[in-house]
Amino acid sequence: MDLFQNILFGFQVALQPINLLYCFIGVFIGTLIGVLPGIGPVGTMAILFPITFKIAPVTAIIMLAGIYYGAMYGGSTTSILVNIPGEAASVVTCLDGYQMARQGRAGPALGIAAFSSFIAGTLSLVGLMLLTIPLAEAALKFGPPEYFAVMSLGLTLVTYLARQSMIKALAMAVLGLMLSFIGLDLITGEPRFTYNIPELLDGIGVVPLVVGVFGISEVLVNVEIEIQRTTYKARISNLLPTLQDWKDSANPILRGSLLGFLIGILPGAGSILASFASYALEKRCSRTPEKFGSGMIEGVAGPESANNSAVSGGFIPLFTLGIPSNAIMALLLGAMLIHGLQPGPMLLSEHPALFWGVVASMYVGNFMLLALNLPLIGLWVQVLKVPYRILFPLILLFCLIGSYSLNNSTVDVLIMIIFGIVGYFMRKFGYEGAPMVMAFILGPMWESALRQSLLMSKGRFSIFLNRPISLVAFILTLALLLSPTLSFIREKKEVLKVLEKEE
Amino acid sequence: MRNDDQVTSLFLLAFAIFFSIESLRLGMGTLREPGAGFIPFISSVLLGCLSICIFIIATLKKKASPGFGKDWKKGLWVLGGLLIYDLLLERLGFLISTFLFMILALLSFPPRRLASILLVSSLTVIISYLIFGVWLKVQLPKGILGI
Amino acid sequence: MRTYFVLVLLLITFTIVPGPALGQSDFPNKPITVIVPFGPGGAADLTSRLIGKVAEKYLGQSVVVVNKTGGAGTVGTAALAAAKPDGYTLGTLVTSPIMTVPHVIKVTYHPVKDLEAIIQHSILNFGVSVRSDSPFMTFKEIIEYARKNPGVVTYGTSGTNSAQHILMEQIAREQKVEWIQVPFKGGPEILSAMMGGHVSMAATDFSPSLYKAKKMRTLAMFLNERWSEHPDIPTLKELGYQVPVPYFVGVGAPKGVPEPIMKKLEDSFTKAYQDPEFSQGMKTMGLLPAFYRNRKDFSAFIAKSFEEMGRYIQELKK
Repeated sequence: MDLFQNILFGFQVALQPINLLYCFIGVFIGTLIGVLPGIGPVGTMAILFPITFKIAPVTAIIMLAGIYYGAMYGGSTTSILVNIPGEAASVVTCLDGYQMARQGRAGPALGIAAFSSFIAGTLSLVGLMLLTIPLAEAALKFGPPEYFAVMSLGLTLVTYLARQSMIKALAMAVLGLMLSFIGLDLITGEPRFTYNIPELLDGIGVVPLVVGVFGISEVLVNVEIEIQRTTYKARISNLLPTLQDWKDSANPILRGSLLGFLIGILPGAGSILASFASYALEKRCSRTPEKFGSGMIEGVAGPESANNSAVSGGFIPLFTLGIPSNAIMALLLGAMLIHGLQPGPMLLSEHPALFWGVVASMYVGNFMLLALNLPLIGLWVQVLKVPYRILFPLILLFCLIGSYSLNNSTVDVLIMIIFGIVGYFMRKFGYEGAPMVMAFILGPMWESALRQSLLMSKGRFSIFLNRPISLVAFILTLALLLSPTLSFIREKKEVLKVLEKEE
Repeated sequence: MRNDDQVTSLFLLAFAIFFSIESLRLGMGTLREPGAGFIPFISSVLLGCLSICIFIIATLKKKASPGFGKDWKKGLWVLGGLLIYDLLLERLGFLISTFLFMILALLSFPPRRLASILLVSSLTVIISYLIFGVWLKVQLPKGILGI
Repeated sequence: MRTYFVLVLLLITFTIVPGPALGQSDFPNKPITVIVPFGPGGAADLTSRLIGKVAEKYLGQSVVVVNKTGGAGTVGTAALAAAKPDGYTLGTLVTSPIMTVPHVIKVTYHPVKDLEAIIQHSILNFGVSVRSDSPFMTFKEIIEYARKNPGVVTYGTSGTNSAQHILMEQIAREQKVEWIQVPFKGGPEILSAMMGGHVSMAATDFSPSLYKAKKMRTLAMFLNERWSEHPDIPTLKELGYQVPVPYFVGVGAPKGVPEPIMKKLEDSFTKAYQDPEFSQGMKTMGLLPAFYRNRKDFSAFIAKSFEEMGRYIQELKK
């Protein structure tokens, strides 16, 4: 079978010693930056870019790709251990992963995170191999109206991130939306809410925001309480997930992989959206949704699968059309161009070695990552035993360096600190960060898509209903919005029935 | 008896009002061609409504306040340290600033053994410089002393 | 005893670790940063990385590229203008944030007074492209169609008030057509939208891969002369449209860098341009045509074009 031959060919390329070496370097660095809050794949890949000049194209792509999906593995580590996301995509993992750690189940949480990432990574690669071309064409069908519809759907999912007061969560979501409008307006080109501060022209960075709201506030809250207490049960019950954990996680992993893969294909969407959507989906599918936020393993397994498979999905537009779906893909595009490779429709036929070699190396990389991360669990768990009074300055330091390194800007650090204060008050008074972050990320795309669509249709709103994909998405959105009302009505009806029977 | 939710919702309301005024200044455009301020205005109105709801619920329910922990001044101290670190970072350079920051942060809690504090601070500076400055090639600022 | 040990450790820390020399002896004695105002992987970005890499040989220090995107290039350009003029922070000078945007909205920098040119190394390449199954075979056909159907034809640009936007609007006025601009975040989004059929055409970066794969047709380029790599694509000038917009990509610095350092920078980058590694790299990437102007010429060119564009845009506003 042709496919089989291609895969074999790919492995021949991937298993060459030099490619194995660079694959390892890539995933290792990726894990490291995934763990460190703030520093992300884009910055590191950009810095390591010059190295790619000196090595063969396949090797360069293998390494850069390794950094990218490696970071998705590492990001969950700090989320689980200290409630600080290492990557913006790992914010959701904080919600339940950290709670699991507090119950002494850091090991299983980390383990399931690693295994979910591995399974999702592998499954999504299968998708990448088999479905590349048809999916690429499907992805093209998403224009501004479709994006608006899908983003609207995404915004309604925000409600599923709420653990406590729904109305406060909604307020936070709207706040996040408003914060996302700060910066240069895409459509008119004019600055909004920037007050002549040049650093705000590009908007508030998602990294300083997330690191501040989740990381700095976490430290502030902990510092305020008796710092002598041991936050976690020092004895970790076991280091690996139990059989029950596996049973619980099986479906979330499958759902997360599929969802993440599909979301990853859409340009601009990416791992963050995938992990948020997966969390919401899992909560929806769960029989005990109210327990989410208190340490449900599904809340770790699903999102971790989703953010990894979104990586594979993201490769599709790049390889098939030469169109990068996010900044990381754009860097890969650049790396290919510098080596004289034109990613795009011709790539598969002209340079099969590249495509299959990289795909095969991603399999290898996933294995390497699993092998790297599992033993490290024992090590990470030891980190929890470091006295907090020494740990917290280190945490603050890493958060700060992470925020600074984005743009070499102390203003970004200031933003982080401000949001740290905001996040502190939010925690104290029961306002949640996750809805705010999700709305903040979706906001710009949502608003731009709306205005672009209206420009395209000359102001006619019918554009949203005329196109099949956006129509479907809107129907789903409406359904989600109405379902609490419907179930409320149903409950009342049942209560009425019971009352009637009693009469 | 005021309680926290009332206070916080009022803050939110104030922010919403401020934001809505600024949005109006940006220009609303028309429904068919929304201007830069259109969606921000709608969002701020929405936030305003939600904060009023929170206020009403808070007034009706009267929950107890979570209060501040015993060591809340330490939080302020840490925050202040972070701010000063940020401000001095580009002036004094990464190495010195980090060193000073670590000392400050470690001093916030007992036991305050100077020797071990200096040791941990130095180690942190060296190791973080290695990880970030050398391996990951992050551009760490150099201060007036050139280091 | 412990205290002594610690003090010794401290001394070692402060002597070994800050290895780099204190004081500014010889330029350059530490890495140089280049701020690119557009996204990674884009044409301006890659060209800057290429010339930066080649220039490393002549500068003796590494060149680190940093992306600061947004506002059709204004965010990165503003950062460059605000940077310390010590020669260690340079930037990529591109058309839109210097030539067009500042005339339309208020920006925090003055494109001519706050920036100092070093050399120009390429011409920014934009083209009007359509999907290969589009009924339009030539630029003229689109114009005629747009004239008969006002407000139907849409085109994507990478930002309002960018050079492409201004130019397309100028053409629209001259030809008395009405077409609609749809701004996107960057080249890739525009190309996706065009390939998906959401906009009629894309007025943006040229994509060699899509062109070669015959998935898109480029009907015209915004250059002054036909590009040697693609001699079959006509320029707008040939087709009779005046293209006053100067498209350039070069290296620049904030105003106020000491003269000896500027000389060294000009020298190094010029040598980099002349280095075969650069021309070979440009050919391999196939994104932009290389073109050289030295510091004096480039500065004069920018200043003159800025004035011209100012008047041009004033005319447009009427």
